[in-house]
Amino acid sequence: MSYDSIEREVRIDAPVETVWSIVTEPRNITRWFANEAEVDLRPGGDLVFRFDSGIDGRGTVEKVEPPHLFAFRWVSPEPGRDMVAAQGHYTTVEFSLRAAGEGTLLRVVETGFAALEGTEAENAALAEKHIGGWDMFLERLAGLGAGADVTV
Amino acid sequence: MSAATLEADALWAAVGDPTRRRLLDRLLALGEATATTLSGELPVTRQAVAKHLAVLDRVGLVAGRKEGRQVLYMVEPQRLDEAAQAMARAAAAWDQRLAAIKDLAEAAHREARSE
Repeated sequence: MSYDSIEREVRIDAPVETVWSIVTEPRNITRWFANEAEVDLRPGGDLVFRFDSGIDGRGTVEKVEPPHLFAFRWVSPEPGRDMVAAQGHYTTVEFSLRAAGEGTLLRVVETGFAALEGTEAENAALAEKHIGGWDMFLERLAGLGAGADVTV
Repeated sequence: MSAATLEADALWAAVGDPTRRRLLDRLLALGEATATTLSGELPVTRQAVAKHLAVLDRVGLVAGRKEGRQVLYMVEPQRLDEAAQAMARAAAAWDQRLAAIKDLAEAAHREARSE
C-alpha cells in the first residue's frame, strides 16, 4: 500500500450537480465533515473548518471546476497539534466527480504526507526527545482530516 | 511544538518519502544490511542511505546494531505494521465521509424528484 496518498471512491445515485453542492457548500460540509465551515470557493480562496476541539483547520482552495473538480490544501487540527508550528505542513484533498449513468462517481485523493518533512531545527529537537509518542501518531492518522467524529 | 506532534510529523515524513520506502522494502527482503550494502541495491549514495536510515531509526521503523566496525540495520516489523494499519484507518475515515456524502446527495436527489 502507498503511504503518501489515500484514494477512495464511491458511487452515488444522484446527479453530479447535487453531489457538487454537498461536497462544496459550507452548509452541506457541516453535515459530513466539520462542525462549522467557511469556504471561499475560488482558487486561492480561504477555507476554515472547525471541529469539536474548537481548533480551526485552515487552508486554501486550489482548484474549482464546477461540477467536476474541487481541491484544497490544509492543515488538519488533530488533538494536541500546535497549529502555529504546523503551518506549512499541508495535505491536499482533491474531490473529482464524474457522471456515471444517471449517477455520479465521487473520488477523493488525499496526498502530501511525504511533504511533512521536519525542518532541521525540528529534526534536531526530535533527535533530542526521541521515541515514544507512537500512540499520538496513530491518533493523528485515525483522525486524519477530521479531528472530529463524522456522523454518517 | 510539542514532542508528540513533532514525532507524528516526523513519522509521516519517514514513511512518506519514496526512497525510504524502497529502503524499507530492500531491508525487509534482505533481513539485515549495512548502509553500504543498501547503497549497492539502490541508485542512492551510501551517504544518502545513511541519512535516510537515520530518519527511519529516529521514528523506530528500523534498528541498528553494531558488529565490529559496521552497523547492521533491520526493519522493526511491528512498527511498520502499525504504520500501515494507521494508514488504513485514515482511509476508513474517508470511506465514512464519502458514505455520508452519498446519503446526503441521494436524499437531496429524492427530495428534488418528488417535488
